[in-house]
Amino acid sequence: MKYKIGIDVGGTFTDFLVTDSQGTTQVYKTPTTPQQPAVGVLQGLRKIAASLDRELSDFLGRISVIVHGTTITTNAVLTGEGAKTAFLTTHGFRDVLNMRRGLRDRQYDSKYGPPPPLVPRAHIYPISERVNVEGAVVTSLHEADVRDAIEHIRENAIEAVAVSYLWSFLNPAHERRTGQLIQDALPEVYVSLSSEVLPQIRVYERHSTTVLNATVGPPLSRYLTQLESQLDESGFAGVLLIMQSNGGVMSPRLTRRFAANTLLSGPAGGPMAGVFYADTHALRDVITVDMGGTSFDACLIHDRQPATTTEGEIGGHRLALPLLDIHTVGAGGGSIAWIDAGGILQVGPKSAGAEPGPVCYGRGGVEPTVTDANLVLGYLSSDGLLGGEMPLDYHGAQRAVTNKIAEPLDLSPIEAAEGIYRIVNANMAAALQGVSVERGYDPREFALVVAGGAGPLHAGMIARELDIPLIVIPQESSVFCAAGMLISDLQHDYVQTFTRDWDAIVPDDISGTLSEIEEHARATLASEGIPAEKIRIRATFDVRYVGQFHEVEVPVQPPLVASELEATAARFHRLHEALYGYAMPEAPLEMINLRVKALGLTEKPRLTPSPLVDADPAVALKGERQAYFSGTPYQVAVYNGDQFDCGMALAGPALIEQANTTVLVPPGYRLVCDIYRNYVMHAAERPLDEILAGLGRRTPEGARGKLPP
Amino acid sequence: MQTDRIDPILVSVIANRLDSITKEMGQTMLRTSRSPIFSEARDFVTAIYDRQLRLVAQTAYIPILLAATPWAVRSIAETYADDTHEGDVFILNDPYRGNNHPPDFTIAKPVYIDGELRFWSVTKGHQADTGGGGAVGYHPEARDVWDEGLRIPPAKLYEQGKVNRGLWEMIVSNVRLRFLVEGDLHCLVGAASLGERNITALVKKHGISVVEQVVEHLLTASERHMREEIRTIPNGTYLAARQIDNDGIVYDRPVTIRVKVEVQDESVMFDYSGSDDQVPGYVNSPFANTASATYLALFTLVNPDVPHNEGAMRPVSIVAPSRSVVNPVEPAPSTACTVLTGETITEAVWLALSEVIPERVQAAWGRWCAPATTGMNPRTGRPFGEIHFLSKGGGGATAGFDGWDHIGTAMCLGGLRSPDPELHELVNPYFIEQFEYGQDSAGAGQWRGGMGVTYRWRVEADNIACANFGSGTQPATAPFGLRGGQGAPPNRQIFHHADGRTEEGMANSTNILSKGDAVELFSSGGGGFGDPKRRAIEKVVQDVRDGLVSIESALRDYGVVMDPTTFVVDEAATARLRSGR
Repeated sequence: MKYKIGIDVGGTFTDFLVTDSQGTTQVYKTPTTPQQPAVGVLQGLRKIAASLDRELSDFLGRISVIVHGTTITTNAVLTGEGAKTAFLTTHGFRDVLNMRRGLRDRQYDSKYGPPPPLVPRAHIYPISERVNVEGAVVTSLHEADVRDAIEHIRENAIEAVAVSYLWSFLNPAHERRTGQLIQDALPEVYVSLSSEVLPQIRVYERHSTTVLNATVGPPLSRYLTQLESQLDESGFAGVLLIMQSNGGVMSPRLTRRFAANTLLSGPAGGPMAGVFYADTHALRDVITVDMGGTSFDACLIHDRQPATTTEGEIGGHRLALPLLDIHTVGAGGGSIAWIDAGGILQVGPKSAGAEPGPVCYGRGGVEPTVTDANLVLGYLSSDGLLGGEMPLDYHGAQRAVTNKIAEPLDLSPIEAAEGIYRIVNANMAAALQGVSVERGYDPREFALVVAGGAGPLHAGMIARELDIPLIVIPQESSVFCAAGMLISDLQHDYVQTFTRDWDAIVPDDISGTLSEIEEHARATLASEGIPAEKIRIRATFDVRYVGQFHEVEVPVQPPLVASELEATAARFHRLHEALYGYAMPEAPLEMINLRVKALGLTEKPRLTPSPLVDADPAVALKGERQAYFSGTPYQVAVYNGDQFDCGMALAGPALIEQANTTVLVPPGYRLVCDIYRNYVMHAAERPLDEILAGLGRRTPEGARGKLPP
Repeated sequence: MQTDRIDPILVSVIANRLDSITKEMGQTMLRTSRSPIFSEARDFVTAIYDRQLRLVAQTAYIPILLAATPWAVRSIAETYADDTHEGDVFILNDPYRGNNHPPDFTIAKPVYIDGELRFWSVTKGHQADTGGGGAVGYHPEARDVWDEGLRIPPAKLYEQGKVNRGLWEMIVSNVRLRFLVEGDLHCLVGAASLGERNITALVKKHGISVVEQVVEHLLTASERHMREEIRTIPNGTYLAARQIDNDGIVYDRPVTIRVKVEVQDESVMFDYSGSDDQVPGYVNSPFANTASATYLALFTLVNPDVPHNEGAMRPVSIVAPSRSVVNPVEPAPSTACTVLTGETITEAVWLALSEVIPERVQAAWGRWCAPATTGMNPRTGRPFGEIHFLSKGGGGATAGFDGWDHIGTAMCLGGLRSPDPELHELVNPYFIEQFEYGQDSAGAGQWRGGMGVTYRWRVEADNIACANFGSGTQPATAPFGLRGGQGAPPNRQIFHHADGRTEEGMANSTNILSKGDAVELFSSGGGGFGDPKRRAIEKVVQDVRDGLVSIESALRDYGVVMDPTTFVVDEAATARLRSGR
């Protein structure tokens, strides 16, 4: 027996998803050990080994792949506990990093300050050197400046150095020489060069990304060294891969060098899992949503490709590396309901979090939250979550909703609770509108894949709000990210700024640049053990109308002959029209960046299907309770999810309770359990077949037999 | 639930949606715009009006556009009262027909639902060029509105869905940067259409009577919210005056704005009656702009959650006598009003109210003083137009918080994104020599002003028009401090000519730049708040270490004595100096 394991270190729990060579999957959770996350990881592995009745070394020896998601870097930035970092930049431009483009988000709020700088000005060293817009050296590198900086770095016990000069993506010689000088003098120091991390136009974005990489490099390296040695000592002989913010994975060796790639990797497994579960029903267009205690993450997946962006931000600092475009809003089970000074009911973005948590947790929370509303409405049981380990205080929740919301608004407690439920649903629906309609997609053509503890209670109503026809609730929805990690491919993103008037592009010229990057990408993947036939290369251009300040990423198909350039231009106009509602086919274009995405395909775990049974769900019935929908009380059947079998179907209103979540099937909805024990939910008035056909599955027959009719 | 009573939950859902529609329109504009002033500086506003022409929701990326649309929309709707149809798109830029100033084009699209006019979807933004003299719309020598460029009365850009080709061509034929203006027109119309689509979807979902009831409720709620906020300001009459350096025509006479703020329980009046008469130069502020600068000042003093709609504006009255600099009549030029006059109005309101609610007021922000330049770039073979936002100054300090660095004019309140130096060099024939904080550029205080910058660039082409607009170059007009905080040094500009001559730049004048010339700008930081001798010593030390504050200023202004190389504080000497003994 061989195993593959996805390990997702979260704030509270470390999730493990174990798949074996027979296609069985099992979920484990251990408490996260924030000071020493590797300890928690090893503890979890020990626990799994014990439950499989194996010695730890025997178990580890049977693991072929561990895919690991870590929040070490994220936490380092958010808590200001990254490495002590110095920054070397072009003389005369000392403050571009800390200016953060001179923006203040809350324009009318004068009572707050900017985020603390990544590098205090005293440790930003101006270096005399300058390259111009054409890549020519105007001022040669004054090595004496670099040597002075090195002395300061030594004196101040600085651990990491970032170097980012103007126009270095056109001519990286000065950065490379600077890096060499530092490395020669201070071999222990972590060095991050912008021409390696992000050779791309836009100074602040490049600086910030390079500095973030330096700041998180040392803590991540230390962690990976510790983890690797502990795994080695315990007998692990397989491959360790690290989750990246772009939804791909990377070897620990490269992750150390490009540490910033992990900064927003926390939720990145979600969309990848979404692709996986969508595949089980041959769906190509889905939106993944993950609703936890404080936030709601949404990501649009079109044609099996999750949306990506280069507009990331962490702790108020820009991260311009390509990453999954996961839109986050402050809506979760802990979101607080409140009445603003104008007398209008609002929900979130403030959250009661896990501590004190909702009023019904009985840990001192006094503000009514979404979870409290769900309890008042009967959607949650006062027996509570986690299989009754934590009872919920119904009366406390009802009191808070009554006193803080119902009475001031002259509503009944049920109306107030339902109001909270509707408003948070509307807020989440607006977020979905943001990732779909605003970007030129129609949500009615997508299915919703739902994750997170609170997601399955709200999914039906969010979907109704936007006429989304189909909802998939995976069995592993509570360890969704860990699941996604196991199906991620190795992925490296490359960018090279290549500014040209479109008509002035020489095909050979750009082909040359593209082949160089491609060669480098293949060599990198080969060094990670990926055979040539498993490598996929995709190229895109960032193109815009001359004078525009935002680019559109357009796919290209090598070879880049003149006719392909023409086709690319036509593709750009079409994309611009689709995204922004207009195109100007006569207007001149310019190219800004060349991008390459290199994938090393990994072997995916296989789920083992169970046969569809033709059984009455009544066998899973555990009772009933009163729940309210649109002000009307219903006696709602409550099912035990553990006994809900493949092929069972039911009509709403109904509730299915599981260890980590409750699924709400609203009135008018129908739910079925597929052959992998995932739930599929849809409005009852439309037959499931028709919906699936309408969602344009590539191979409708591919899904046949996986669902009851 | 009774039928005559509005469902408070629907109010919340619909109010949030109206707000998010204006944000979605703004996002579309950001992504699709062509000119840097749109996409980088975000100089635009999106809004929804109801059929009674009340401002229901808006997102003003640049706060000086807060009240830039109500008079424009009214003017359009009244002009075409009997001639508005589904599919029409209106345009307006004439400051004497409701617009704020000529470079900001207003686009308004009536929203018809089942054949009835129900709402208006409105967008407005600063164009890269509007014809006339000057650069990027700024023309310091303009003597009347015709000098300032194209004047578009309320007109139909689209008639029942069909573009008015003649008008479109007329507009883009009369501007220098046709390819930018044309793109931005598409962008304005596109965003207004997106707004129309989303408003229609919202109404179809909930029904028009529900949405109209909600709007009514929302505006009343906002009014109530604002009244409660005003109630927290003690009743009284508060006076202040601030000045603009000059109007670009008469250099030796500053222009004075006087305000009398009268707070009476839940309402407030801003009376500008003592201000100067309208002036020959381009700082005259049409009423829409005067109102915007007033609301801007007020909205920074109240809870930031108060919605920026018609309801919130009800408790506020504004008196601005006709033919004065705060309410001029045709044909006074007005282009510079959004910055120069706006800043002065806002400062006057802040200064007046600092007497009674000092802890809520901010010290003055660094004023704008930098050029707009335009010409041909020989390297790209294209014309260019650029407002030199890299010079953005610092924000004023407030009780408890230092000012923000390089945040730009208070007219934008931090919404003005600094351009990217590389994209700037890519498009324009300029080589940037320096762009960083200027030491001691901010006002000292217990809470220090935000840092201004030193920005110097070399010109790499000939025959570039450089329209230098702004103020704050005099001690009297430089940012003021509050409650013992010091003011910041004035804006300063130096032209280094290729032949070796050097001259001080003059606010509101036009120069021609040639290859080899260099322009050096020192922008003001913000004013300080509170006695600098009460600033925490470790903050002063950090500022000196960081090179933001000189060791001399630490000693003189902050009373901190330290070793210039080790930065070790002489605590005894510091205590003596700080206690004044």
